[in-house]
Amino acid sequence: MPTPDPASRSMRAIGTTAIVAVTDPATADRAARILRDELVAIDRACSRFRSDSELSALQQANGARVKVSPLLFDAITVACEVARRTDGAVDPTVGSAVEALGYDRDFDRLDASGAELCDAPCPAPGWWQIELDGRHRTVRVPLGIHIDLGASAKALVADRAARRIARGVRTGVLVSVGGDVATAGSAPEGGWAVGIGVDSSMPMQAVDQVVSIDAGGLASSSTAVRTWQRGDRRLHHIVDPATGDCAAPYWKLVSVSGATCVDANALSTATVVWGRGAVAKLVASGLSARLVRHDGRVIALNGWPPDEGARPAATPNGEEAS
Amino acid sequence: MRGMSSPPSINPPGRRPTTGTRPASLEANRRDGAHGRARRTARAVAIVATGAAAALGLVVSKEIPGASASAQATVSSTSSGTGGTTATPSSTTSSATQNTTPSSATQSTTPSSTTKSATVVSGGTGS
Repeated sequence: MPTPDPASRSMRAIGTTAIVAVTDPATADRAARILRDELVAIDRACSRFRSDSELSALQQANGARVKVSPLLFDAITVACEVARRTDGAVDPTVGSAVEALGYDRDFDRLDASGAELCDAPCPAPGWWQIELDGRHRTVRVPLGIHIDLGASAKALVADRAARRIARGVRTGVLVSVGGDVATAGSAPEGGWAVGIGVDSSMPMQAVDQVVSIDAGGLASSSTAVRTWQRGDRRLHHIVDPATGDCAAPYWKLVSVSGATCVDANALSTATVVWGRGAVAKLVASGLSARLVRHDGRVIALNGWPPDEGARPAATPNGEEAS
Repeated sequence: MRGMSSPPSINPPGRRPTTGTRPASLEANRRDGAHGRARRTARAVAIVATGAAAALGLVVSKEIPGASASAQATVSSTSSGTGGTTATPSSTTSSATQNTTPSSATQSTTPSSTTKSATVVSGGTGS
Protein backbone atom coordinates (compact mmCIF):
# COMPACT_ATOMS: atom_id res chain seq x y z
CA MET A 1 0.00 0.00 0.00
CA PRO A 2 1.53 3.34 -1.02
CA THR A 3 2.52 5.77 1.70
CA PRO A 4 0.25 8.82 1.70
CA ASP A 5 1.80 12.16 0.88
CA PRO A 6 2.50 14.43 3.86
CA ALA A 7 -0.29 16.80 4.76
CA SER A 8 0.37 20.39 5.77
CA ARG A 9 -1.31 23.35 7.44
CA SER A 10 -0.18 26.97 7.47
CA MET A 11 -0.92 29.94 9.67
CA ARG A 12 0.15 33.53 10.21
CA ALA A 13 2.08 34.21 13.38
CA ILE A 14 4.87 36.39 14.77
CA GLY A 15 4.98 38.50 11.63
CA THR A 16 5.50 35.65 9.22
CA THR A 17 4.03 32.39 7.97
CA ALA A 18 4.35 29.13 9.87
CA ILE A 19 3.79 25.74 8.26
CA VAL A 20 3.50 22.28 9.73
CA ALA A 21 3.69 19.16 7.59
CA VAL A 22 3.14 15.64 8.91
CA THR A 23 3.72 12.20 7.47
CA ASP A 24 0.39 10.97 8.82
CA PRO A 25 -2.29 13.17 7.25
CA ALA A 26 -4.80 12.21 9.92
CA THR A 27 -2.74 14.10 12.49
CA ALA A 28 -2.43 17.38 10.59
CA ASP A 29 -5.04 19.31 12.53
CA ARG A 30 -3.73 18.21 15.91
CA ALA A 31 -0.22 19.11 14.83
CA ALA A 32 -1.42 22.53 13.69
CA ARG A 33 -3.02 23.16 17.09
CA ILE A 34 0.22 22.33 18.85
CA LEU A 35 2.18 24.63 16.55
CA ARG A 36 -0.31 27.43 17.11
CA ASP A 37 -0.03 26.97 20.89
CA GLU A 38 3.74 27.22 20.69
CA LEU A 39 3.62 30.31 18.49
CA VAL A 40 1.15 32.06 20.78
CA ALA A 41 3.30 31.21 23.78
CA ILE A 42 6.55 32.44 22.25
CA ASP A 43 4.89 35.67 21.12
CA ARG A 44 3.50 36.36 24.59
CA ALA A 45 6.85 35.61 26.17
CA CYS A 46 9.39 37.05 23.75
CA SER A 47 7.89 39.77 21.57
CA ARG A 48 9.65 43.11 21.83
CA PHE A 49 6.72 44.73 20.02
CA ARG A 50 3.96 43.79 22.45
CA SER A 51 3.61 45.97 25.49
CA ASP A 52 2.01 43.05 27.33
CA SER A 53 4.74 40.53 26.58
CA GLU A 54 6.83 39.10 29.35
CA LEU A 55 9.97 40.43 27.67
CA SER A 56 8.52 43.95 27.77
CA ALA A 57 7.86 43.56 31.48
CA LEU A 58 11.42 42.37 31.99
CA GLN A 59 12.73 45.41 30.12
CA GLN A 60 10.67 47.68 32.35
CA ALA A 61 12.13 46.23 35.53
CA ASN A 62 14.83 48.94 35.64
CA GLY A 63 17.65 46.47 35.92
CA ALA A 64 16.08 44.46 38.73
CA ARG A 65 16.24 40.69 38.89
CA VAL A 66 12.97 39.20 37.69
CA LYS A 67 11.55 35.70 37.91
CA VAL A 68 10.38 34.73 34.45
CA SER A 69 8.46 31.90 32.82
CA PRO A 70 10.32 28.77 31.78
CA LEU A 71 9.79 29.71 28.14
CA LEU A 72 11.29 33.19 28.37
CA PHE A 73 14.12 31.87 30.48
CA ASP A 74 14.83 29.21 27.88
CA ALA A 75 14.61 31.66 25.01
CA ILE A 76 17.10 34.05 26.61
CA THR A 77 19.34 31.16 27.60
CA VAL A 78 19.38 29.86 24.05
CA ALA A 79 20.06 33.34 22.69
CA CYS A 80 23.01 33.75 25.05
CA GLU A 81 24.33 30.33 24.19
CA VAL A 82 24.11 31.13 20.48
CA ALA A 83 25.97 34.39 21.17
CA ARG A 84 28.67 32.53 23.04
CA ARG A 85 29.09 29.94 20.32
CA THR A 86 29.31 32.56 17.58
CA ASP A 87 31.61 34.74 19.66
CA GLY A 88 28.99 37.44 19.71
CA ALA A 89 28.19 37.54 16.01
CA VAL A 90 24.58 36.78 16.93
CA ASP A 91 23.86 38.71 20.12
CA PRO A 92 20.47 39.25 21.81
CA THR A 93 21.52 42.66 23.14
CA VAL A 94 21.13 44.28 19.72
CA GLY A 95 17.66 45.56 20.63
CA SER A 96 18.66 49.22 20.78
CA ALA A 97 20.69 48.86 17.59
CA VAL A 98 17.76 47.41 15.70
CA GLU A 99 15.46 50.13 17.02
CA ALA A 100 17.96 52.83 16.03
CA LEU A 101 17.89 51.44 12.51
CA GLY A 102 14.14 51.98 12.45
CA TYR A 103 12.92 48.42 13.07
CA ASP A 104 10.87 49.36 16.11
CA ARG A 105 7.52 47.68 15.45
CA ASP A 106 6.08 44.61 13.79
CA PHE A 107 7.59 44.43 10.33
CA ASP A 108 4.11 44.48 8.79
CA ARG A 109 3.59 47.92 10.36
CA LEU A 110 7.00 49.32 9.49
CA ASP A 111 7.07 52.15 6.94
CA ALA A 112 8.82 50.86 3.85
CA SER A 113 10.57 54.18 3.43
CA GLY A 114 11.29 57.14 5.65
CA ALA A 115 13.61 59.99 6.48
CA GLU A 116 17.32 59.50 6.86
CA LEU A 117 18.42 58.10 10.20
CA CYS A 118 19.71 60.72 12.61
CA ASP A 119 21.31 58.56 15.27
CA ALA A 120 24.67 56.89 14.99
CA PRO A 121 24.70 53.08 15.04
CA CYS A 122 24.49 51.63 18.51
CA PRO A 123 26.86 48.67 19.11
CA ALA A 124 25.43 45.85 21.22
CA PRO A 125 26.39 46.11 24.90
CA GLY A 126 27.11 42.38 24.96
CA TRP A 127 25.16 39.27 25.81
CA TRP A 128 27.39 38.50 28.77
CA GLN A 129 25.85 41.37 30.71
CA ILE A 130 22.58 39.47 30.97
CA GLU A 131 22.39 37.60 34.26
CA LEU A 132 20.65 34.25 34.15
CA ASP A 133 20.07 32.22 37.28
CA GLY A 134 18.79 28.79 36.35
CA ARG A 135 18.29 27.72 39.95
CA HIS A 136 15.77 30.46 40.65
CA ARG A 137 14.78 31.04 37.02
CA THR A 138 15.52 34.72 37.23
CA VAL A 139 16.91 37.14 34.71
CA ARG A 140 18.49 40.54 35.21
CA VAL A 141 18.92 42.83 32.26
CA PRO A 142 21.03 45.85 33.15
CA LEU A 143 19.39 49.21 32.68
CA GLY A 144 19.69 50.45 29.11
CA ILE A 145 20.13 47.07 27.49
CA HIS A 146 17.36 46.08 25.13
CA ILE A 147 16.96 42.47 24.13
CA ASP A 148 15.93 41.29 20.69
CA LEU A 149 15.30 37.56 20.51
CA GLY A 150 14.31 37.66 16.85
CA ALA A 151 17.43 35.89 15.67
CA SER A 152 16.94 32.71 17.66
CA ALA A 153 13.32 32.63 18.84
CA LYS A 154 11.86 31.60 15.49
CA ALA A 155 14.27 28.70 15.29
CA LEU A 156 13.62 27.80 18.91
CA VAL A 157 9.87 27.66 18.45
CA ALA A 158 10.30 25.54 15.32
CA ASP A 159 12.42 23.05 17.27
CA ARG A 160 10.06 23.04 20.24
CA ALA A 161 6.95 22.57 18.14
CA ALA A 162 8.46 19.81 16.02
CA ARG A 163 9.58 17.85 19.06
CA ARG A 164 6.27 18.32 20.84
CA ILE A 165 4.28 17.24 17.79
CA ALA A 166 6.43 14.18 17.17
CA ARG A 167 6.06 13.13 20.79
CA GLY A 168 2.43 14.04 21.29
CA VAL A 169 0.94 13.06 17.96
CA ARG A 170 3.44 10.37 17.06
CA THR A 171 4.08 11.39 13.50
CA GLY A 172 6.99 12.49 11.42
CA VAL A 173 6.84 16.25 11.29
CA LEU A 174 8.39 19.29 9.66
CA VAL A 175 7.78 22.76 11.05
CA SER A 176 8.75 25.92 9.22
CA VAL A 177 8.56 29.30 10.90
CA GLY A 178 9.40 32.00 8.39
CA GLY A 179 11.67 29.60 6.55
CA ASP A 180 13.48 28.25 9.59
CA VAL A 181 12.83 24.52 9.41
CA ALA A 182 12.85 21.86 12.12
CA THR A 183 12.04 18.19 11.74
CA ALA A 184 11.32 15.43 14.22
CA GLY A 185 10.22 11.83 14.05
CA SER A 186 10.56 9.76 10.92
CA ALA A 187 10.84 11.60 7.63
CA PRO A 188 8.74 10.58 4.65
CA GLU A 189 10.32 8.33 2.08
CA GLY A 190 12.97 10.33 0.27
CA GLY A 191 13.11 12.89 3.06
CA TRP A 192 11.47 16.27 3.50
CA ALA A 193 11.79 18.37 0.36
CA VAL A 194 12.77 21.94 1.17
CA GLY A 195 13.01 24.66 -1.44
CA ILE A 196 15.89 27.10 -1.10
CA GLY A 197 15.17 30.65 -2.18
CA VAL A 198 15.81 34.20 -1.15
CA ASP A 199 12.35 34.67 0.37
CA SER A 200 10.54 32.03 2.39
CA SER A 201 7.22 33.34 1.10
CA MET A 202 8.16 32.96 -2.57
CA PRO A 203 6.27 30.49 -4.79
CA MET A 204 7.63 26.95 -4.75
CA GLN A 205 8.21 27.15 -8.50
CA ALA A 206 10.58 30.09 -8.08
CA VAL A 207 13.09 28.54 -5.69
CA ASP A 208 16.77 28.19 -6.62
CA GLN A 209 17.03 24.58 -5.57
CA VAL A 210 15.12 21.83 -3.81
CA VAL A 211 16.99 19.67 -1.30
CA SER A 212 15.95 16.80 0.90
CA ILE A 213 16.61 16.41 4.62
CA ASP A 214 15.60 13.51 6.80
CA ALA A 215 16.54 14.89 10.21
CA GLY A 216 17.58 17.98 12.10
CA GLY A 217 17.00 21.54 11.03
CA LEU A 218 17.68 23.88 8.16
CA ALA A 219 17.70 27.65 8.33
CA SER A 220 18.34 30.47 5.91
CA SER A 221 19.25 34.11 6.40
CA SER A 222 19.05 36.79 3.76
CA THR A 223 20.00 40.42 3.48
CA ALA A 224 17.64 40.83 0.53
CA VAL A 225 14.31 40.47 2.33
CA ARG A 226 12.86 42.18 5.37
CA THR A 227 14.41 45.43 4.16
CA TRP A 228 13.32 49.04 4.45
CA GLN A 229 14.52 52.41 3.19
CA ARG A 230 15.67 55.33 5.30
CA GLY A 231 16.91 58.27 3.28
CA ASP A 232 19.10 56.82 0.58
CA ARG A 233 20.01 53.73 2.58
CA ARG A 234 18.48 50.31 2.07
CA LEU A 235 18.51 48.63 5.48
CA HIS A 236 17.98 45.02 6.42
CA HIS A 237 17.26 43.22 9.66
CA ILE A 238 20.54 41.40 10.33
CA VAL A 239 22.63 43.59 12.59
CA ASP A 240 26.33 43.27 13.28
CA PRO A 241 26.47 43.51 17.08
CA ALA A 242 29.99 44.92 16.95
CA THR A 243 28.96 47.98 14.96
CA GLY A 244 25.25 48.20 15.62
CA ASP A 245 24.74 48.70 11.91
CA CYS A 246 23.31 46.37 9.29
CA ALA A 247 25.74 43.62 8.45
CA ALA A 248 27.56 44.33 5.22
CA PRO A 249 25.56 42.60 2.49
CA TYR A 250 28.35 40.37 1.22
CA TRP A 251 25.97 37.40 1.24
CA LYS A 252 22.53 37.60 -0.26
CA LEU A 253 21.36 34.25 1.08
CA VAL A 254 22.91 31.74 3.45
CA SER A 255 21.36 28.33 4.16
CA VAL A 256 22.75 25.92 6.74
CA SER A 257 21.64 22.50 7.96
CA GLY A 258 22.30 21.33 11.49
CA ALA A 259 21.25 18.99 14.24
CA THR A 260 18.57 21.48 15.25
CA CYS A 261 17.01 24.55 13.70
CA VAL A 262 18.65 26.67 16.41
CA ASP A 263 22.06 25.32 15.41
CA ALA A 264 21.41 25.99 11.74
CA ASN A 265 20.00 29.45 12.37
CA ALA A 266 22.93 30.43 14.57
CA LEU A 267 25.38 29.72 11.79
CA SER A 268 23.32 31.11 8.93
CA THR A 269 22.89 34.41 10.79
CA ALA A 270 26.50 34.51 11.95
CA THR A 271 27.66 33.88 8.39
CA VAL A 272 25.91 37.02 7.21
CA VAL A 273 27.61 38.99 9.99
CA TRP A 274 31.00 37.39 9.39
CA GLY A 275 30.84 38.33 5.72
CA ARG A 276 33.62 37.12 3.48
CA GLY A 277 35.51 35.48 6.31
CA ALA A 278 32.66 33.11 6.99
CA VAL A 279 33.54 30.50 4.40
CA ALA A 280 36.54 29.09 6.23
CA LYS A 281 34.58 29.03 9.48
CA LEU A 282 31.74 27.16 7.84
CA VAL A 283 34.08 24.65 6.27
CA ALA A 284 35.68 23.98 9.63
CA SER A 285 32.29 23.66 11.31
CA GLY A 286 31.43 20.62 9.23
CA LEU A 287 27.85 21.79 8.80
CA SER A 288 26.50 21.75 5.28
CA ALA A 289 25.83 25.17 3.85
CA ARG A 290 24.89 26.98 0.68
CA LEU A 291 25.89 30.61 0.25
CA VAL A 292 24.83 33.04 -2.43
CA ARG A 293 27.00 36.10 -2.86
CA HIS A 294 25.45 39.37 -3.88
CA ASP A 295 26.90 38.93 -7.35
CA GLY A 296 24.91 35.70 -7.62
CA ARG A 297 27.79 33.30 -7.20
CA VAL A 298 26.77 30.16 -5.31
CA ILE A 299 29.03 28.26 -2.92
CA ALA A 300 28.08 24.82 -1.62
CA LEU A 301 30.05 23.55 1.38
CA ASN A 302 30.45 20.37 3.40
CA GLY A 303 28.33 18.13 1.26
CA TRP A 304 25.54 20.52 0.39
CA PRO A 305 24.45 19.41 -3.10
CA PRO A 306 25.62 21.83 -5.79
CA ASP A 307 23.11 23.72 -7.85
CA GLU A 308 22.41 22.10 -11.16
CA GLY A 309 25.13 23.03 -13.63
CA ALA A 310 27.13 24.98 -11.07
CA ARG A 311 30.92 24.90 -11.05
CA PRO A 312 32.83 24.84 -7.78
CA ALA A 313 33.03 28.25 -6.18
CA ALA A 314 35.18 27.33 -3.21
CA THR A 315 38.16 25.11 -2.59
CA PRO A 316 37.94 22.35 0.02
CA ASN A 317 39.70 24.57 2.55
CA GLY A 318 37.16 27.32 2.13
CA GLU A 319 38.93 29.73 -0.19
CA GLU A 320 36.55 31.28 -2.61
CA ALA A 321 37.24 30.76 -6.28
CA SER A 322 37.57 33.98 -8.21
CA MET B 1 9.49 22.26 28.70
CA ARG B 2 11.95 19.95 30.19
CA GLY B 3 13.09 20.76 33.67
CA MET B 4 16.03 22.89 34.59
CA SER B 5 17.63 20.33 36.78
CA SER B 6 21.20 21.27 35.99
CA PRO B 7 22.54 24.19 38.00
CA PRO B 8 23.86 26.97 35.84
CA SER B 9 27.48 27.47 35.10
CA ILE B 10 28.60 30.71 36.64
CA ASN B 11 31.20 32.90 35.06
CA PRO B 12 33.43 34.93 37.33
CA PRO B 13 31.78 38.26 38.08
CA GLY B 14 33.01 41.56 36.81
CA ARG B 15 34.14 40.82 33.29
CA ARG B 16 33.26 39.23 30.04
CA PRO B 17 33.38 35.45 30.21
CA THR B 18 36.79 34.16 29.31
CA THR B 19 36.82 32.89 25.80
CA GLY B 20 40.43 31.86 25.49
CA THR B 21 42.71 33.03 22.74
CA ARG B 22 40.74 34.25 19.83
CA PRO B 23 42.02 33.06 16.49
CA ALA B 24 43.75 35.69 14.43
CA SER B 25 41.31 35.06 11.64
CA LEU B 26 38.45 36.14 13.83
CA GLU B 27 40.27 39.22 15.03
CA ALA B 28 40.89 40.19 11.46
CA ASN B 29 37.24 39.77 10.76
CA ARG B 30 35.99 42.17 13.39
CA ARG B 31 34.86 45.57 12.30
CA ASP B 32 34.81 49.04 13.77
CA GLY B 33 33.04 48.33 17.01
CA ALA B 34 35.35 45.59 18.15
CA HIS B 35 37.69 47.88 20.00
CA GLY B 36 34.81 49.59 21.70
CA ARG B 37 33.47 46.25 22.77
CA ALA B 38 36.75 45.26 24.35
CA ARG B 39 36.52 48.22 26.69
CA ARG B 40 33.00 47.50 27.77
CA THR B 41 31.49 45.48 30.55
CA ALA B 42 33.86 45.91 33.41
CA ARG B 43 30.90 45.70 35.75
CA ALA B 44 29.09 42.88 34.16
CA VAL B 45 28.20 39.60 35.66
CA ALA B 46 27.17 36.93 33.25
CA ILE B 47 25.61 33.79 34.48
CA VAL B 48 24.94 31.50 31.61
CA ALA B 49 22.67 28.62 32.26
CA THR B 50 24.08 26.30 29.69
CA GLY B 51 22.68 23.30 31.45
CA ALA B 52 19.31 24.71 30.60
CA ALA B 53 20.43 25.22 27.03
CA ALA B 54 21.35 21.58 26.78
CA ALA B 55 18.03 20.60 28.28
CA LEU B 56 16.42 22.60 25.51
CA GLY B 57 18.20 20.59 22.90
CA LEU B 58 20.69 23.25 22.00
CA VAL B 59 23.36 20.76 21.12
CA VAL B 60 25.63 22.37 18.62
CA SER B 61 27.45 19.32 17.53
CA LYS B 62 30.58 21.15 16.52
CA GLU B 63 31.94 24.28 18.08
CA ILE B 64 31.70 27.05 15.58
CA PRO B 65 35.21 28.01 14.47
CA GLY B 66 36.27 31.31 15.81
CA ALA B 67 33.82 31.01 18.62
CA SER B 68 34.80 30.62 22.21
CA ALA B 69 36.46 27.25 22.15
CA SER B 70 37.62 27.42 25.73
CA ALA B 71 34.64 29.11 27.26
CA GLN B 72 34.07 28.13 30.83
CA ALA B 73 30.48 27.14 30.44
CA THR B 74 30.16 23.47 29.76
CA VAL B 75 27.14 22.13 27.99
CA SER B 76 26.00 19.20 30.01
CA SER B 77 24.80 16.07 28.41
CA THR B 78 21.26 15.41 27.39
CA SER B 79 19.67 12.50 25.71
CA SER B 80 16.43 14.12 24.80
CA GLY B 81 17.36 17.37 23.24
CA THR B 82 17.42 17.07 19.53
CA GLY B 83 14.66 14.69 18.78
CA GLY B 84 17.07 11.86 18.30
CA THR B 85 19.22 13.45 15.66
CA THR B 86 22.61 14.96 15.55
CA ALA B 87 24.94 16.00 12.79
CA THR B 88 28.44 14.66 13.36
CA PRO B 89 28.73 14.39 17.11
CA SER B 90 32.07 12.66 17.30
CA SER B 91 34.00 15.29 15.44
CA THR B 92 34.27 17.97 18.08
CA THR B 93 37.44 18.49 20.03
CA SER B 94 36.56 21.65 21.88
CA SER B 95 36.39 21.76 25.62
CA ALA B 96 32.97 23.32 25.47
CA THR B 97 31.34 20.33 23.90
CA GLN B 98 33.45 17.37 24.73
CA ASN B 99 31.17 16.36 27.56
CA THR B 100 28.13 16.45 25.39
CA THR B 101 26.58 13.07 24.98
CA PRO B 102 25.39 12.64 21.45
CA SER B 103 21.81 11.75 20.83
CA SER B 104 21.03 8.16 20.10
CA ALA B 105 20.29 8.19 16.40
CA THR B 106 22.78 9.14 13.73
CA GLN B 107 20.62 10.29 10.88
CA SER B 108 22.48 12.60 8.60
CA THR B 109 21.46 16.22 8.46
CA THR B 110 23.36 16.84 5.24
CA PRO B 111 20.85 17.76 2.55
CA SER B 112 20.74 15.74 -0.62
CA SER B 113 19.45 16.48 -4.07
CA THR B 114 15.87 15.60 -4.80
CA THR B 115 13.43 15.87 -7.61
CA LYS B 116 10.47 16.06 -5.26
CA SER B 117 8.34 19.16 -5.04
CA ALA B 118 9.18 21.33 -2.07
CA THR B 119 6.91 21.22 0.96
CA VAL B 120 8.23 24.52 2.31
CA VAL B 121 10.74 27.18 1.31
CA SER B 122 13.71 28.03 3.46
CA GLY B 123 14.82 31.55 2.74
CA GLY B 124 14.99 34.96 4.27
CA THR B 125 12.09 35.60 6.62
CA GLY B 126 9.23 36.37 4.32
CA SER B 127 5.77 37.67 5.08
